[in-house]
Amino acid sequence: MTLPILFLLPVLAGTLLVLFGKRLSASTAAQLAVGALAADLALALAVFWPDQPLDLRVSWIPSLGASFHLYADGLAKILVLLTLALGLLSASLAGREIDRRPGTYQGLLLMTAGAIVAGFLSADLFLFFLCFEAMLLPASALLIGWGRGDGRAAALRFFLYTQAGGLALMVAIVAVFFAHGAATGIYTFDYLVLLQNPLAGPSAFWIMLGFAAAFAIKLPLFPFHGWQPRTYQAAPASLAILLAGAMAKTGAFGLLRFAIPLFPEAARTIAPWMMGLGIAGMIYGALAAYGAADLRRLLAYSSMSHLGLLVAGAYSLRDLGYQGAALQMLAHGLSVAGLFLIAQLLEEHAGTSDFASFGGLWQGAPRLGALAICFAMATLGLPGSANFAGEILLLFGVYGAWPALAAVAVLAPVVSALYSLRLTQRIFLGPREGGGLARDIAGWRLLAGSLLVGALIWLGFQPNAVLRAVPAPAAWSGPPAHAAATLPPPSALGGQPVSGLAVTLQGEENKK
Amino acid sequence: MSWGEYLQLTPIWILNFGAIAVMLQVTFRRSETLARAITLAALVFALLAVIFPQGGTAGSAAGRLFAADATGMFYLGLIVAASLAVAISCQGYLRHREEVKDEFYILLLLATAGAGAMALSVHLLPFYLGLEILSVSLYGLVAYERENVRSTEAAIKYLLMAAVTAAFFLFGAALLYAQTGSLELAALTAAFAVAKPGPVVLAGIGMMLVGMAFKLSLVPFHSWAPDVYEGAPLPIATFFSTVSKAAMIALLLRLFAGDISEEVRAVIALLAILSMLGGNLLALRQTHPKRMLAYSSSAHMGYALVPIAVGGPGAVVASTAYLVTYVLTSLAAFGALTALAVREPSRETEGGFDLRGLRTSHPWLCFVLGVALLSLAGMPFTAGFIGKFVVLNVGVRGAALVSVAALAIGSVLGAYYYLRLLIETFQPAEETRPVVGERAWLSWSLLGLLAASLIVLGVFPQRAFAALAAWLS
Repeated sequence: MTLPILFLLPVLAGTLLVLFGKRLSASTAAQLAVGALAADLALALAVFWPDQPLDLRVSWIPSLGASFHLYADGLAKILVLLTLALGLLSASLAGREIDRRPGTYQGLLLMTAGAIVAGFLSADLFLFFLCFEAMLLPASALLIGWGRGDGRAAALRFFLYTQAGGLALMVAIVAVFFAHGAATGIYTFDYLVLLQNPLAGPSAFWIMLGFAAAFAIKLPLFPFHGWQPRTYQAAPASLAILLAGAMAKTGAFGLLRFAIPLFPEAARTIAPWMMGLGIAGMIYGALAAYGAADLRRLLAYSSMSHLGLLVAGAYSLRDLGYQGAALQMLAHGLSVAGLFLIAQLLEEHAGTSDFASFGGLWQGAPRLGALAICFAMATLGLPGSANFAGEILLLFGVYGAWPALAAVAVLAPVVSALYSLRLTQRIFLGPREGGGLARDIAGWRLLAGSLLVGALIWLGFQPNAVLRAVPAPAAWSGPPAHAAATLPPPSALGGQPVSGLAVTLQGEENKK
Repeated sequence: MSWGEYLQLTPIWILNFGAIAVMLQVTFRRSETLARAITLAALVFALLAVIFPQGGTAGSAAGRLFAADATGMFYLGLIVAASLAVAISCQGYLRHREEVKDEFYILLLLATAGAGAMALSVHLLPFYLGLEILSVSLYGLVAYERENVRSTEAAIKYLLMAAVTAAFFLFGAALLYAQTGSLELAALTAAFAVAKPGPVVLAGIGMMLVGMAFKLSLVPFHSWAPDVYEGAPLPIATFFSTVSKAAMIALLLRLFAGDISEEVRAVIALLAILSMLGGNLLALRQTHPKRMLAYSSSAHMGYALVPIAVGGPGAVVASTAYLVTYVLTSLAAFGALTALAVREPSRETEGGFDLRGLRTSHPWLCFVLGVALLSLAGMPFTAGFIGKFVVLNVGVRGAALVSVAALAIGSVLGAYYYLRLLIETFQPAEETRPVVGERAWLSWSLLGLLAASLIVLGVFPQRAFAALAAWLS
């Protein structure tokens, strides 16, 4: 079937570019990479259009219990499309940004994107682990070879932090293999088989910790974020888009797909801790972003902040929390990509994204300023943006599980506003500093930015388009059970989009 | 011994006759090319004799010295193949380093024969003879570059420590003989398969383990390794890392793979854990690739020892699988370094090995070295990962939590210094170096084959793994 092509195409194209593309010019390399990714995206859209999940299973290493099993349900489809779209943006941006060995750069970028897509599609723990680790290598190579500043130190830190989590994950998946086999007699790494008999008991708790540790480092979740600020600063903007937009989502995906459903009892035990860490990270990240001296660090901490709320909502184990997490993954990916696009433009002009070097850019570059305001508003969760829809669902989830924490979590838009507004004010408003931009944003970058804004606004008003595809699995039906598992589409309620929420809230009040 | 049993040892005969043939050739005419040709031919024929065994199945039970059983023949094949790879890779290596080159090949063949005897023996006497033949040949091979002070220093260190630990081994064997009245491995295994072996048996096993741990460079018997690897010629460092270890692991599997007492298991587990952690920690500070690979070989032997320490049905297959991936990876890594030293001898300096600029000057060697380093680090889609995963499987199944934790921690540490070495090859070169040596096409093709096998085994290990499990059972 066509599922393997979705990741084989970028990986093979990337390998060819790395091996033979040393002397390509930046524009040729970008065209090849964009072409490959565009073809892949078109293929993905065509294959994913019908509503049912796709499944492909081929025997691979029976001696170890590993099979080549790909599974594309709603969540995987959304994330694959997001990765490919962001990859497309990255490749185009890299055409402008990279002037040293662009062919190799684009090849490694393609390989990273391919590995991430393969990770999202895997339904076999062994295969997922291989992709989880494999995506580190081209990303580290990109950091080392093209990093701004001390790329080598950032790459080593990034690699080793994630590798430590990866080793914990490796031990955990082998432990799941044997624990499941001892309990049911079936020794396999296949996710769908393991899902039918989730593990329970004290050993399951420790195994779940192995999973959670790996994904907490990948996201990153406070306090495992030590690798993030330096990596986001050192990465070229095109790589940063892929890292923040797609690779971080691998961690969230891992939690939603593996760490919670395979160990529902252990997840309930650790849920308060994870929710606490998530909200703590949200506050900490926002404050650190507020104090950041340059745009890259701000984006790193803001990313951590948003993903902290995402983890809190995911571990609320309420269906709205799950759906909010899925929507927020998409929304955050789009908004952070937009902000990195802005950052790349600023760096292209001034060589740095330090706040001190910019000021009052709106006068000379109104279009850029408009885009930046849109992305900043999305980041702070302005109603009408997809981020708001995601955040409100996450907050409902957190409220359903731990109302007192929700009182703190509700500060999310407030703390996000701190740094979003600061970012807008320091760079675009106020007195002119450091000279204006040579020219305003134009051409395909303007188009890309506008498309991102458009997507964020559209999803903000029509989140059901995505939410319909991600019904919450069984592990998220925490008490009290909600009347509606998903928000009903507006048409079913006679054009009253808000009533779905009202029904749900009433249902909750009735059950109390 | 009957005629059939003699024929079972054909590979060892071929190696011995090959050594004699080179000796005769040296008498008549000194020529490195001819010596190499005879050596390669002898090794190829020995390998063929392993793949197509002569003399029927293994001999009868009592009073036998050798047994051409499945494990023995597999390890013999591994030893001969690794030696063949070493012989291929030393093409052109000695040209600028030593006047007299022919004896190198004699010693190489003898060392391989000794190691082969170690793999096939089921009695301590031929095992010890094989061990000594291997060791004495290695003394000569390590010291081969007579003008190089470091080589002589390394050889003296190795000589002294090998002699001391061989004495420990003999003493331990003597204690076990005193207790059991036999030197056959089967009888010795029976002695400590009981629940509580007596103090004499435990002391004997402990002393034998000293000798075995030395050869495998397990922590804390590892201190000879970095100096010897650094001082020895690169092909001999390769030999140490592959053939020498394989021969000793064969004995360990024969002795400890069955039902053994808890104390012995605990000691082996302790050796494994110390090696995994100590080997990786010590390698962190090394900048010389040879020293780093020496310490890392301790760590890898620790990983290979975990299934033996845990025991159970899949232990032999797991250890052997790990060893095979390690041998392939070592051959690739050292082979790339050797080929580089042949092409640009000025890279191998007094206290270091300059790898900078490798990506631009020798992209092929950089690729092979890169794949080998990633495999050593246990990165997915390489053979090294599959080996590590299989060992992890056995460890988790046996609930050996400390060993598994040490494996995980060691792997993270290992990733750091392998990656650091890989990054060094991407850095720009300090100076352009004169390319002096020849392009050894045979060696480079072998490197390509090794790199390809590392990747293929990493992505599609099923066939090879199933074949290995079938052979060993």
